[in-house]
Formats: sequence, C-alpha cells, structure tokens
Amino acid sequence: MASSVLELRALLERRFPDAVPVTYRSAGAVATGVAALDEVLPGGGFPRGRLAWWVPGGGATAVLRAACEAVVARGERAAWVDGAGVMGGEGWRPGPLLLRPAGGREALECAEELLRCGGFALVVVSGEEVGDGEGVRLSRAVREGGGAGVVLAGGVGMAPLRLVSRIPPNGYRWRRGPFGEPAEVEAAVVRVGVRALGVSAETEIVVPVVGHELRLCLEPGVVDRRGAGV
Amino acid sequence: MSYVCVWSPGWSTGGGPGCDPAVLLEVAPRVAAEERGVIWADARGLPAGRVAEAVLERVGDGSARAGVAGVPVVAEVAARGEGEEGRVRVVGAGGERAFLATKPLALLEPGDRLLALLEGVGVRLCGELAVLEREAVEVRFGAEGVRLWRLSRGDDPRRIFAPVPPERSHASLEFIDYVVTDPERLVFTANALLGSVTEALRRRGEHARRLVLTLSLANGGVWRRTLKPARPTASREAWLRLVRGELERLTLPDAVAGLGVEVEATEEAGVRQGDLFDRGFATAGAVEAALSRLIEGQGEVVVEPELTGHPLPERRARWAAVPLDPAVEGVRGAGGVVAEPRLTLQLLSSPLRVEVEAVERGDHRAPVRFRDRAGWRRVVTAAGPDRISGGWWEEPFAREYFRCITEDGGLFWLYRDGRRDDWYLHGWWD
Repeated sequence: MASSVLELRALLERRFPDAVPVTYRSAGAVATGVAALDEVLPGGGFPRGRLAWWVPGGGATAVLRAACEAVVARGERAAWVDGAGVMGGEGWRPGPLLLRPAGGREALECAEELLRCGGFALVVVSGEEVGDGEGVRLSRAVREGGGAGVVLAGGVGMAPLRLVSRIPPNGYRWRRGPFGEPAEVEAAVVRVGVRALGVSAETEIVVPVVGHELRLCLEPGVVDRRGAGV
Repeated sequence: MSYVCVWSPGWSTGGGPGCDPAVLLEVAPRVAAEERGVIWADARGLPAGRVAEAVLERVGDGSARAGVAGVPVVAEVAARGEGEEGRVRVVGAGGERAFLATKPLALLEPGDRLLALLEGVGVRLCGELAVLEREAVEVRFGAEGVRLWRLSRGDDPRRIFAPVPPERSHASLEFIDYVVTDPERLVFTANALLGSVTEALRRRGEHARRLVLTLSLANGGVWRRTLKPARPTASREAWLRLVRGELERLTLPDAVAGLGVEVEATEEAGVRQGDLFDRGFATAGAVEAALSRLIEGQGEVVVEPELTGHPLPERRARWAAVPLDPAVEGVRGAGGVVAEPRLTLQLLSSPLRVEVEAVERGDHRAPVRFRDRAGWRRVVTAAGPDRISGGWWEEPFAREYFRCITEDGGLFWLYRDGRRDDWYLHGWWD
C-alpha cells in the first residue's frame, strides 16, 4: 500500500509539477539576501523551477530589486522586466538586466524568453496583469529554465508560492522639521506575508526610503522663492 | 615562391615590353607592368618556373629574362642579373640573402649620390652592406641608406599584388516557370538559401554582420533590404527569423520571380575564453540567443538609465540601450551577500491627472484625499510642498510636490500644477 502511494506521488510530481507543494521540492532556492524574508520562505528563497506570485502593496519592488542585486553579487544573472515602465532611473543600481518592453504582451514575451533560456537565476516581471493562460506559459518556461520567476502583479495567480506585502500607515519613520512637522520619510516597515501549501508566515523588514532630490532653482546663484503660484 | 619578374635590357631604355600585358593573364591570374620596364606575374600556388617560361614565351622578346622568388626585390635582381645561365633564374626560399650577397648594389637602384657615398667607403656589393649594423647605416647614410640596407638583406616590404578579398557568401534562386506570391513559400526558399550561406560562413570561421535580401519581381523590379541581427552570427535560425519577420511585413507591387541572399559584411567568429569562476559562462550562449531574439523582435529592450540632470523629474533619466556583450557576461560573485532593500521612487513617464480634495494649510493647499484609477484614497499625512519652477524660456512649469501617505499605507507623490491649478499623480515609493 505504502509503495503504491509513493508511486502515485511520484507520478503526480511528474505529471503536475506545479501542483506539488514547494516544500517537497529539492531543486534548491534562490536566496533573496534579505535574512528576515529568507527565513520564512520555504527552502530559504524563491524556489528554482517554480513561479512565485507577489501581490504588491508596498515594499515589494524594494525587496525584489535587492534580491536581484544580491543574485548578481553572488555571481548569477538576474533580470527585471518592467512592464509598466515606471522604474525610476535614479533608484536603479547596475547589475541586474533591466528590460523595458513597449507593452504588456511584450513584457510577458520577455519574461517567458528569459525564464526559458536557463541563464537567469531570478527573473521578475512587474507592472503587468498576468492571466491564467499566461501564468501557465510562464510556469512552463520557468520549469524548463530552472531559475526562479516572480510575478509582481495583483490578482490571484496560479503559483505554488504567494507573497503579499504592505506598509501600515503608521509604519513610516519621519524626520521632523524645525516646527515638528513631518519633513522627510526616513524608513518604512514592510510586512511580508508568505503563503504556500503547508506554509503561512509573516515577517517584517525595515527599509530605508530614498528621497527624490528636487532641483529647486534653475539658475545658479538665483534663489527661486516665488513658489508655484505664477 | 610566388613572384615572377620579367625584365629586358631593351625595356629599361624606354621601349617597354612589346606585348600587351593582358596577354599574360592567360598564364598567370594577376599581372602588373611598371613604367620602368618591369613586368610582374603572380605565381602564388602555381609552378612558378613554368609560369615564368610561359610569360617569357608570350612576351616574345629574345633578350628578356625572368627571375622567380618569394621576395620582389630578389626576383627583380634575379631577372636583371647578368651572366646568369638560362633565361629563368629561380631563387629558392631561404636563399634570398645569400643570392643577393654577391650582387652589385647598383641593381637595387639606389640614388647616384648614395651609391657614390657607399662606393667611397668600399661598399659595392649587397652582402657588404647587409652585414653592417642598422644604426651604423642610419647614422652615416640616413633613411635612404636604411631602405637600401633592408633591400640588401632581402627585406622588401612592397606588396606587388594586394591580397584578394574572399568572395562574399551568397545564394540565389530564380523561379523560371512560375512566380510566387505566398510568403510561406518565400520563407521556405529563403531557408534553403540561408542554409548554404551560413554553412559557407561556418567553413570560413566567420559571422555575418549584415545580409542583403533581394527579391526579383515579375515586373522586372528589384526589392532589396539589408538585415542586421542583434549581434553577428552564422546561425541559420537567427537569420531565418529576421527574413521571416521582414517577409511577413512585406507588401510588394508584383509577384516574386527570384530570391537571393548575400552576406554584406562579416567578422571573424570569436570564441570567448572561459572562466572557471564565472558561473554564468556555461549559459552565456543561451542568454545571448534569448536576448538576441528579444532585441530582434522588440527593438532595444535591454536598457540602463542615463541621468540627465533635467529639473523636471520625468525627464531626469534617459534610457539607453545596453550592448549585448556586457549584458551576456557573467560576473564573479561572492557567497553570503546581504541584500539592502530601499524604497525608491517609481515614476510615471507621463504624470496622471487626478481629482484631489485639498485644504488650506499656511501658504498652500495640502491634499486630504485623491482619486486615481483605483478609486478614492484618503491621505493621512502630506509632507511638503517642495516647489520647483522654471523653463520660462521654453516650457514654463511651476509645481508643488507633496509626499502623501494614504490610509492603506501607500507613499504617493502628488503635485499641483501652479499654472493651471490641476493635480497630478507623478509616482509612488515602492
């Protein structure tokens, strides 16, 4: 009886690899480099050969971009497919490949191609709604390639590992101005929830906030104090 | 042994060879005639002695003599040499310097002044000059003396015949009895032609940088396109993908009567040195192929930011294409890397106009809620304003930026356009 159960399990794993809990797999994981998150992720990172689905709610881009940078720093390749074209130039650090395709369909094509080629340890596709059919295609591609894929999109995706992140409104740390008013956001607490079959965990990551430097005056030596009302 | 030099005493006095040098092309692939009365024939890869005899036969001058050597100056001296037996003098490879050693320097045609100077110090033969040190010759006889010294040692840098560039790989097919209007059939034909072209490239160890696709039309016209892959390649699949893409977009005025492909530019196929510590090297080929496909299909999608310093945030970064080689290269990394996540600004390339409710606060109005595509969002904290203004000479702008934390925890960047009193969502931190 026991042997038949094992055979059935092996058959199911072969036929429906995505249906197998990530905790069963031994293909290894791509560590994010964020210790608090790696501790709660099954296997210690994003599972190789599997798709992870991250529902954005604050801090997801920061953590995933840091994970891409950590992957490159470890000597592997990582790529970010920016489907919405919102990645700010000043916040991007060299290392991972950044792809800015023209539209949503092109973004999914890019992600599928990169996942399938097998040369990338981590591929993140963001800013594009991914339907069930596209999710299946990406799952197949990531399984063929053997890397880890992360879809950063809303909705309920077909993925064995799901994450959701948010920053509570009181989770921001402010630098106060001379009159006690909030002047600059210094850091934020990102809460990340991890869900997989047999796994439900949550962690908190304190993330510094990079301000956007505004050039308040165009002419050197001329102080612009006129305000916005023209 | 490759150069055949033909010379006759009569030609040096201005008569020149009596025959048309073009006749000599019957026996040698390339022929050159110099005004000073010397004929050269290229005998590389041919039995040089027999070529020389055949050339002499066609020249038709009984006093003409031929010299054969691998160095032009040696062949010429052999042809001019007096007292030699026979009309053809062959100097074997490696024996050039010894052959020249006993010849008078005058055969190398130095200037009269230099020849007199050399004779003045007792140097009359090539061998006597060749044994001297270069520095000694240069100090005493200058640059002209060094040139003669090199010739006397059988060192002749002249290139009588320039190297022949190899024929560019090409293949074509004419449809004799019919014409073609179906793109799929054209792709089928192109696939076969590309097979032979890429095979030829591989045999030569080359990659094609550009390839010209030519369609001969039934009305006599010719349609031509130059195709360029993301990187030079001899891959049939890569070129077929480009040809297919071109043919799928194609609108022609008439049916196609013939199709041809020709390599326009090539480069040597390079093989990168592997690196044991580069974990990405093993998959570099697959990554390169994948990125090439994406670039060919979607244009330059692999980019990196170039910061411009423009005062408007949406124009502060320009996206520049990343060359394929750096993108493919792996990197040496160290284990145990700790990631450092940072919330950075996600910026809309075109600010999104939003509806905002604002209240008076000091000298400005601060947002208390706004509505974007997701609906109304209540603002719990609004820091600002950060004011920017400028562009008076071209496109004036005046903005008040606010960093707004909403009740669902989002950190948004809103601004009020001071010139129109409109509100915009410019980005968010994520």
